[in-house]
Amino acid sequence: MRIQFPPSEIDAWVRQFYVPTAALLIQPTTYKAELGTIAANANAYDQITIPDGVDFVCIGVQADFDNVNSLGDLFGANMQLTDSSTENPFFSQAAPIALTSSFIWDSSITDAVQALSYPRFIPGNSSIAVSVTGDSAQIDLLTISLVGFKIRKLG
Amino acid sequence: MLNFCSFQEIDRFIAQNYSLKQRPRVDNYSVIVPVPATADGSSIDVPFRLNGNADFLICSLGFVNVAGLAVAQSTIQIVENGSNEKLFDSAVSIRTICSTQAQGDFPGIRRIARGSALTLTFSNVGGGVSANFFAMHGVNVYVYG
Repeated sequence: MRIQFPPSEIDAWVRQFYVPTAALLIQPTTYKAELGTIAANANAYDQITIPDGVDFVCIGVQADFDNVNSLGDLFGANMQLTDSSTENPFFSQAAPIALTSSFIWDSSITDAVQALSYPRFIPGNSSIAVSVTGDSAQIDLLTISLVGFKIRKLG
Repeated sequence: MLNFCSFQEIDRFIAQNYSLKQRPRVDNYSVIVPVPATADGSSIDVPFRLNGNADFLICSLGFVNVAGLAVAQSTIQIVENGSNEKLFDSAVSIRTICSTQAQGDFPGIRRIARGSALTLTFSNVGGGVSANFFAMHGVNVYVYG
C-alpha cells in the first residue's frame, strides 16, 4: 500500500504527545545529513540533531548526490538510520539507499520522497544517526534528508 | 497501485487487533532480507527471523538488485515456518508485488507475530546473478501490557 499522511491527520496524531489544551505550531520541514563524498567501500556518518524546544515527526526519507555516474552505486551503498531517543533503528539492518529512500535519478527527473509506513515522532534535544557504507565507486556529496513536520509548543 | 491509505489505517488495524491493556506502541520499521547472488534459472531459500520484542505489520514490499539489474519474471515467496502460512498463494513475480524501490502493490496490512521464523524463496528466472535485497516495509508493534 502507498501510505499517505494527510496534514489534518498528522495534526490529530501529534496531539497524543502533548496535553490536550496545548497550542501547537505544526510546520512542514526537512532536516538533512551531509555525508560528503564517500570513497569506494568507505563508511560515512552524520547526525541530525533536533533542537531543544522543537519536536519532529518524520514521514519520509530522500537521498541526493552530485554525480549521476554513481546511480548504480546507490543500489550497493547501504544506509542505516537510528533514532537516539529510543535507540530503535529504522531498518532491521543497513540496506541499499535505493531501497530505503527516494533519490534523484538524473539531473532532470526527481523521484517523490520515499514515505515511511508510519510517522516517527522524534522529540527535541535528540538526534538521528545516519550511517552509510559506500559501494565499489565513489559517491559525490551525498545528502540524506528527513522530511516531515516540526512541532513547536506555543505559550 | 492497488491501495492508497492514510497511516491512520494502521492505527485502526492495531485498535482491532490489540487491547488497550496491551498498550501497543508503534514505530515505522523495515525488515531487510539480503539474498545472496543466485544464478539464472536457480532458486535459493533464505531463512530469517523477526525481532522477539515486537510484532511486525507488513504494509509494502520493496526490492533492489545491488548491481541495478532488472530481474524480469523472477519470483518470491515468503512462508511462516511454524504455521506454514504463505504470504502469496504461489510464488509471485517480483515486478507484480514489489516496486524497484519500495511501497509495491501489497494490498493491505499483514501481521506477523514477534520472533516468527520465515523463509524467503527467491527464484532467479533471469536478469543476472548478483545479490538482491528485499524489504518488508511496515511497523513494529511493541506491547507492554
